[in-house]
Amino acid sequence: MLLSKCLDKALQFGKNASKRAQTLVQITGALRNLVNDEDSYARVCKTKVVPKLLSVLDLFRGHKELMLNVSRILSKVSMDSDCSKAIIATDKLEFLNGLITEFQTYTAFVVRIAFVLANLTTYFDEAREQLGTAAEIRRILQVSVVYFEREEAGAEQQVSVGGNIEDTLVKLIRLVANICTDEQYIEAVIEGCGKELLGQFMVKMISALERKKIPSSEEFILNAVSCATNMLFFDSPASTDLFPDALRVRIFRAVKLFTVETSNEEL
Amino acid sequence: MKYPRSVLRLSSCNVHLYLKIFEKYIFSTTQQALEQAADFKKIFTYLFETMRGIFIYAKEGSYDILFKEEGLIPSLSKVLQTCFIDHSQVILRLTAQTVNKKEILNEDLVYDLVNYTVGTIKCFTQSEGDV
Repeated sequence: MLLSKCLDKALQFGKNASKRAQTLVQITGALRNLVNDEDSYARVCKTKVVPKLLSVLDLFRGHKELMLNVSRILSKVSMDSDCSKAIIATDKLEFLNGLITEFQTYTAFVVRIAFVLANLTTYFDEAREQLGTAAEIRRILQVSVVYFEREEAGAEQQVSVGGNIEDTLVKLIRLVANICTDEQYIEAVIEGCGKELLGQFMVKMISALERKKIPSSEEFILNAVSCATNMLFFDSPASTDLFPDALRVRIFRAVKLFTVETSNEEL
Repeated sequence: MKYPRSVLRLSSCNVHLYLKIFEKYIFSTTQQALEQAADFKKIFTYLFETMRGIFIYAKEGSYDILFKEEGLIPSLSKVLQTCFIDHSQVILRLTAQTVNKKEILNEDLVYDLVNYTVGTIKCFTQSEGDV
């Protein structure tokens, strides 16, 4: 693929960083258009575009247009199994997770990278292993709490905070839910950041859940219920009470109504 | 923008001619290259302006399919392959200026050429899946 070679060349050519970034914006923009076609996924893997894109993110962190283009490409190709494996093989999921934290106010970027990480952790143990450390989970939970607060602020003022905040939360919750499918990761969280942050995340998520209605927020509810289910699985007497009783009751009350309100079997 | 098909066909022809002429510069020795540099600058400017013109047509968004029909896609690919990926150093050398006996390379020319070329590809692949 010619654009892959152009990426290589642009990363080496010249001394003018601003011009180089501008060239990379065009190249990644063209690539973004081409990956809209599923047939291009195989070529993306074959020409090793993924590690080059991650190099671009690393070298030009803070360049918003470039970061957005790369995140859009990664979010598209992360829906393909081979491309997902290529992303995981770079061993840079921690780096991507770090970018989410560093640029947490850049919603358009966060929503896409969270989508990528959620896709990878859905199917691949290696991805869960890379992100299953206390430090990484803490980052995800902290960013999620920030987005819950933004969503909460919008709800209190009864103004629309835009679909992006809820979309971002959907992806972050899905990511947490995927990581919480294994006890060792829950243990890592408790050891690394204590139950407080996990509890804070759960309280915020349940508060949001209590405000949501199925017709407008079905995806959010679906993911939040999955996440709560996964976490509650480890909330046994043996685990020295992950959540207090009052929170358990609140989760029960928030969730029970959906079982009679919806025809969606997943809920 | 009266005659887009004619402009794009001519542009494709220009690119083809440029690449044919450029071949002799690629394989020439340094001394020969210096003697030919003045000519090259004119030829390169011709390609540069052609690519800028094509980019303007691509940004219009109404002629996407014409780019395919007029054979611009292989032409643009060859420009990227030849002028950027394989022989950007030849272009830098031949378009360099000497100031106080010091050679100044004009990287911006190559950057802009690549921006126009890739920018064109980006424009006509944006909405037209067939292209």
